[in-house]
Amino acid sequence: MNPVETLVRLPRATLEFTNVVLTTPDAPIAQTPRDVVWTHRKTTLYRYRSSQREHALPVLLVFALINRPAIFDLRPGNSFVEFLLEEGFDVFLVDWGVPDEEDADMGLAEFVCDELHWAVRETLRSAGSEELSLIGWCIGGTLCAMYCALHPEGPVRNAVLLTTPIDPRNSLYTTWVGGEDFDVDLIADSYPAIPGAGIDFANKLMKPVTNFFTTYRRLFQSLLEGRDPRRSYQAMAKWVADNPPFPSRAYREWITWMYRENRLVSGRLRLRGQRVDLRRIDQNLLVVTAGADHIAPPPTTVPLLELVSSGDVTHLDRPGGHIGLMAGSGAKHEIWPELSRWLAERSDR
Amino acid sequence: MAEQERATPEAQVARLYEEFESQAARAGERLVGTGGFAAVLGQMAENAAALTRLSADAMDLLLRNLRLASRRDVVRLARQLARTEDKLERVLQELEEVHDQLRQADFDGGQANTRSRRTSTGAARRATSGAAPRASTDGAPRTTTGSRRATTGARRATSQTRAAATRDGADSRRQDSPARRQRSSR
Repeated sequence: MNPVETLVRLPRATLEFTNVVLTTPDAPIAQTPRDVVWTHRKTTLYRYRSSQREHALPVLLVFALINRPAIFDLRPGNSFVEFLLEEGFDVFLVDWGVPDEEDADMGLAEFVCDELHWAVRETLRSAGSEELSLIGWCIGGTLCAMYCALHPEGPVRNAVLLTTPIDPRNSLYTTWVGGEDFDVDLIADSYPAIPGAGIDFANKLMKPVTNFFTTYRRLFQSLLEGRDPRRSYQAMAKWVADNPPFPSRAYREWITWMYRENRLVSGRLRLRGQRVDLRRIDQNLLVVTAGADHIAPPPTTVPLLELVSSGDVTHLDRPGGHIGLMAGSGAKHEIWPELSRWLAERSDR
Repeated sequence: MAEQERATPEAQVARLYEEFESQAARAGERLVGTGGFAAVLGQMAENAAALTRLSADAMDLLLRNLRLASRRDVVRLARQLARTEDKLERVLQELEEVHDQLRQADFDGGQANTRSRRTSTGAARRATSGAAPRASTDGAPRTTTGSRRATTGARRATSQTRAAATRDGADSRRQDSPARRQRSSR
């Protein structure tokens, strides 16, 4: 494109850019039809409608506490849920909802021992199955690992952990919140529900130039070159901006137990008096790490592979970021088929 | 090298800019990874938290003095509701388990009857044809699951009705309470 052409396109690109940014909240995400199976407090268990269920084991999707699980079903044509349904799985999703001040008493034990445990129970009842596959992503993966460690004889046959922090010793988060400079008690006492915007800001600060500038510059450049990334950009931007608050008790425990005391790996984490011993995990295990993940870099996940006692352990390390690996444009042809194959081989009676 | 020589000035400017941006990104990531940045971030978070707490306390005090329900009162009520929901969920689960056990007992009883009938028929058939008995209970688990699922919804509905009934019962108890009777007799 020559300079004159660029100048001619500039006003239109500027207008389109403004329009794309301003209409992002209206972008349709999480559109796959689903039914509410069970609710408790803010937690909702959904089951996706399907007429082509082939595999005996249902799949339960668990996402983190700091973003919404819509990322599993981002937009029609680029949805992991849609893909799993097409592959013949019976898909359930646990949504932690949007906690508020009244949920300040929700700690990790409540999420793992109550909400997740009950969601598993309701999934089994709904699907009429005795076992299931758990897919956890980010903190959701950590919660799933805790659950599997607490219930080695339980109904989970397959556990898939996607970009999951397990041993965050040398991570950037540990630099920020693991030291004395960060008073987690003051924060947790001041905010009964830690504002999602604050957590989102901190996450973006990890890659400041990329998140605060490059994303917008790339969008503008695409529009200037006549491409229309509206659908993909808006869906992702809407999801990124939707940050539910983090219940203060869970936040305090997460920061203290994971980043300050590294209790999960050292086997000192207790939920309701029960020790969460990762060595008790004996389910079929698939661990997925992303090479360019800055939130849960591979070294924070890989130690799990040495700890568990599962006889069937698979590790996939693929290029991509924390979210991009599973929700990027290439995921549908790269990582999703691998996950589906792994699950399908282990999902029959 | 030859490509660089052939590249237009605009392409060269764009390439230089992208290089600058990626260097800035790397520098930014190095900066945020330092202990100094972590200390600044920690203090900023503490200041924000302290300010929020002060303003929330002041606003609550103001509303309370105006004798209006403040955020704190609403949260207290919501917490009580959440506790009640916790209890209800546990009761529901207990009910479902008892129901499942009863169903299973019914099913086992029914199966035992069928088995005894089948055994006698099978024995008669074996006596005549000499065929081996088929150990097939293929449809049985699906039947139980189906019925279990079908009853779950019903049970939920029943429990809701029961909750409503309990509410009504509580109301009627309240109406018939000694204090009320005393008041009405006065």
